[in-house]
Amino acid sequence: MKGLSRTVSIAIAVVVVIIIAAVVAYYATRPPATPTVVAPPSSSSTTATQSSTMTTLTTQTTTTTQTTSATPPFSLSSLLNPNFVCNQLLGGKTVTITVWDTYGPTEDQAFNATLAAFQKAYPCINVQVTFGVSIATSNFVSAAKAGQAPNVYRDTSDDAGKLFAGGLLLNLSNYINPADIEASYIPIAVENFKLGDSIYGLPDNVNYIVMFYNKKYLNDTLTQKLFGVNVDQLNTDQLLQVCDLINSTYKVWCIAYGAGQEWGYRFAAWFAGFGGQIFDSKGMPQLNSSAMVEAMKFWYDVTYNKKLNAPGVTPSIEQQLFTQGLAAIIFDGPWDLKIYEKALGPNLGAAPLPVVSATGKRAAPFIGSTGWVIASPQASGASQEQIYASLAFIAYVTSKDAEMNLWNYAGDIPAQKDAYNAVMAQLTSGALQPAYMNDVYKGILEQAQYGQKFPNIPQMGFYWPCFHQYFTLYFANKTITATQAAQEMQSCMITNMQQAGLLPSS
Amino acid sequence: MKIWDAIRLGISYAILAIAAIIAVFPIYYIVITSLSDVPTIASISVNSLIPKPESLTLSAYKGILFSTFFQGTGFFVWLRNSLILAAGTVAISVALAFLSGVALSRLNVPGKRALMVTVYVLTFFPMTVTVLPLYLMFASLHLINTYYGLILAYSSGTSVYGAYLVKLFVDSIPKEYEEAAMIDGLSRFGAFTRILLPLSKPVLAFIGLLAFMGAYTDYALANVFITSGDMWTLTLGMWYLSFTNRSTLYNVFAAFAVLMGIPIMAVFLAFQRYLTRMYTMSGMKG
Amino acid sequence: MASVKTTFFNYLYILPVVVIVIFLYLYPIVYTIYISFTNFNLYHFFEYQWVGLSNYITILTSKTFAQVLLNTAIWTVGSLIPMMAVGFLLALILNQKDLRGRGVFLTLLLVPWAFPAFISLIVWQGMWNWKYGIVNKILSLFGVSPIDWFNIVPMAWVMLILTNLWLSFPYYTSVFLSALQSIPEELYSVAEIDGASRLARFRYITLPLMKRTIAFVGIGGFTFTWNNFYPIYILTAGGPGNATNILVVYAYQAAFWNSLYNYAAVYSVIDAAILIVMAVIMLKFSGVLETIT
Repeated sequence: MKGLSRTVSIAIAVVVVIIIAAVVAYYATRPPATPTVVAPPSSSSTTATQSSTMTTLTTQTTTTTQTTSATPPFSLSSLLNPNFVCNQLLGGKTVTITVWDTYGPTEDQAFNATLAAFQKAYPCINVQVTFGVSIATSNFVSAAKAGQAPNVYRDTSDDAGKLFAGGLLLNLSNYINPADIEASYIPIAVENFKLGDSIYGLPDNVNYIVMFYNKKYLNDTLTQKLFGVNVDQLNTDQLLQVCDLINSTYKVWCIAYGAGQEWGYRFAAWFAGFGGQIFDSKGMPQLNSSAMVEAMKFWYDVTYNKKLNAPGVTPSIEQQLFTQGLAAIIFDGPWDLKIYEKALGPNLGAAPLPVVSATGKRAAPFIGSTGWVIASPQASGASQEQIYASLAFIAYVTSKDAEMNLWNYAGDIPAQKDAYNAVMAQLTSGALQPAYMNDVYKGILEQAQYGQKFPNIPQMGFYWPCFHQYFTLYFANKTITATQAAQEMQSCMITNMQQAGLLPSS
Repeated sequence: MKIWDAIRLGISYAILAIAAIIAVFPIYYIVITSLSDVPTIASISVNSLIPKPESLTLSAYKGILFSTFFQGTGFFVWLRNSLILAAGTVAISVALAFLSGVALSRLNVPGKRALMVTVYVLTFFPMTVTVLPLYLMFASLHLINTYYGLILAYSSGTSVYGAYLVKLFVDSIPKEYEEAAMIDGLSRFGAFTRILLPLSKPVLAFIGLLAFMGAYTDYALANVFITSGDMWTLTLGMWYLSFTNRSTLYNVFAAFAVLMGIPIMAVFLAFQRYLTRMYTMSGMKG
Repeated sequence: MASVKTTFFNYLYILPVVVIVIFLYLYPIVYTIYISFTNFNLYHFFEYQWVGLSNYITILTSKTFAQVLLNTAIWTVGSLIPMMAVGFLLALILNQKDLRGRGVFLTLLLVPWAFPAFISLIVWQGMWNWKYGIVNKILSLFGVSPIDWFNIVPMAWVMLILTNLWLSFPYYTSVFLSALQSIPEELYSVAEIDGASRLARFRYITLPLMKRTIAFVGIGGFTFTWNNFYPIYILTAGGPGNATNILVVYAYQAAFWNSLYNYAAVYSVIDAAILIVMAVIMLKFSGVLETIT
């Protein structure tokens, strides 16, 4: 009996191992899950069958069109023309594309309106929208690895930059005339979606932080009296003086900025103001610099020595302090504007971040963008028709009307030039209701001239955790010095870049 | 002697009362936050712990319960999905755990010791990173965006752990019970289901509870394996409504937490009497 | 022949679980182990190469690894001892025959368990805040000056362990209570008649009978806590710096913050390897292996 059980258990072990081996072998040798891989037309490695279908398509269309070319790159205006897309690009066929919608609840109202209009205008494109995918770059990555990524997806310009560097996204420069894109969207938004010379997304907004303030404590009258300038022209020395006054007069915090919880998004504005930049032109990190050390010391000093900034606050407590009138200044973006408008009403003010007195430079926040991207055929298994239909879709959802929808429903600042100009015209004519919101939005838009490009090279992904790790350690009761923190951030980034094989050769 | 008993009981009640207050306090905190109309957590002062009646509002609850989002889905669709997933997970986990647990305890399965140790050791592998291969496998089996896929994934942990618990539990039930029944003409399988199944109720209830909690409260796997809005679970809906851009709507979050917590509390109360009876093995084996 | 046939049928009972284990555990684990020997990351995504042991060498020789490993040990042992102690104490209290309202107390004590952990953790995060959290407000009623729980490393550990205690004690209480209730009443009554004191009854009846349960539950708790992701990820995310980072959280961050899937895999493999070795040693010494198999 004993002998039998041993043999049987060995047999089972063998069977289990065989099953595992079979499963592993199946997955290892499995052909790519993408049956219809289409190489981008610009690439030279098209297979015989694909190039033949392509040439037939080309010959067909060249005979039927005179004004617009049916070979990529297309012009943006032709993609916005349903007749051209349906009849010439797709040859009268109906094409289905999959879309991941990553908007939040209020933006979704705008998107739904745009989507309905699209489906009416482009009967030949059947859009299967997966609603309510929160911005989840890692989900997109998993789906791409399985060859089941959606055709169209929306992400932030920096996260999409990582995906593009990994080969998960389509290079739009091969498909849409780059000059058209440059002409249609505001320059910084285009820059955000450009890696090298390649454009990989069409922007649907620009976003950044500004200085919101409570006019009860801080206003132009006060700063004019003290320094002869308006709030939007303050430098940090003046700001701290006024802060002292606010603290002593009203017994509230002057600033609510949770530096101790920073991941580096808002801090980057101060780093730039002190003269730093995250990467040099080659893509080497520049965190170990006097600008970083000075910027860190500045906020430590304001928080713990001067006691003008509320310590130990999280973003939600910042908001709580500001909305309840317990703090005069908060650094936040227009995405939270509705909350502040409701709480402060006419007392709400917005202005660009101040000038850093030590350098004379403006604190320059990241001017980021979100935008629509198309998965590479390897990631989504898309056919050429699906790619063309996707191009029409992303052109449409970043067109003037679509971005005006986003502005009207959710207050997103448009990245499309015509929409941006329309918004500017609304503000100058004072068309917004209630009237004080015109000034608030003017302050917000003024910040756009003092921003910095949001780095979208893949190395940027390492900035957040490395900065967070060592800045929090410094801010936590100076466990390490500012100089050490800057050194550690730098070496943390270098280590990660080495591990990823992304260290630029100098 | 009487005095000592009184002191002992007094101390016991004091400890229990303190422990109970600490246990319940955060939940109370959630409830008062959910009734606030400011989207922040009620944390400014000790006074705010006892909110003034006029500052209370049900607006967060109304926003959650009576709004629809994409294509008519909303809270009740999410609740349905969560309950389907949880129910499926409970059924599969309990069935598998019972079958294999009984087999491991009662049947001659050569090599079972090696098998049990191997399986036990496999569960030590952290699952946070194996999500990617799991996704790839599910994608190739077309299990993404299906109830089956998630139920299977949720059941894996509880059915393996459950099999151990059932085995331990059944080990403590005298074999004579089924042997007698089998002499009376029951089949082996019949003996298991007619005799052992009713006796194992406490441990099966416990496994069911674990399975329910795992499936109902999961965010990580659901976030990866469900993309389409009509398949969403409560946890995904909660995330969508509460965490927008870079700010958190704490009152919405708290109201959602209360709504989500009610079914769990109900299940827990229903199962509580089994919880104190699931372990019987220690006394026998010593 | 019949016996081989029954043996075969006996296997059918455990087949479903074996299949589940192979598909949902073994395959992902094998894949992860494979990935740990390659340069697979977001930037070598569709095509990647075998790099041998170099990932392992990089990690095992790094400063961070030693620190994170030590943290994992602190986290596991530091959490487990109070969890078991509090759980056992409350179970003993609840198990007293003459205690009234046991059901009510047990229900209240189970609340932390019955509430989704990630929700409670987000709330706890607000409650631990230095200036605005309720914990410091309550402590100040007793004259304790506010403690910066998140930024002072020893205090961060205290915060994590206390929060984990709150999350976990109901499980230990109910398991220990059910084990205590399974001890036959007669043993105690016989001892009482023999004049054994309460302490002696605990020492000579309860403890020996509970030894196996304590060992079994303790080992289970050890392995669970070792890989317990959410408390640390939600409360401190391993900070300040890496001072409270543990292996699973670090692996997760490598994968989802840095997109370095291969390094995440290495951390997972090392994490599991260490845990397996320790668990096997513990199982051997405690004799639990005999109980569970």
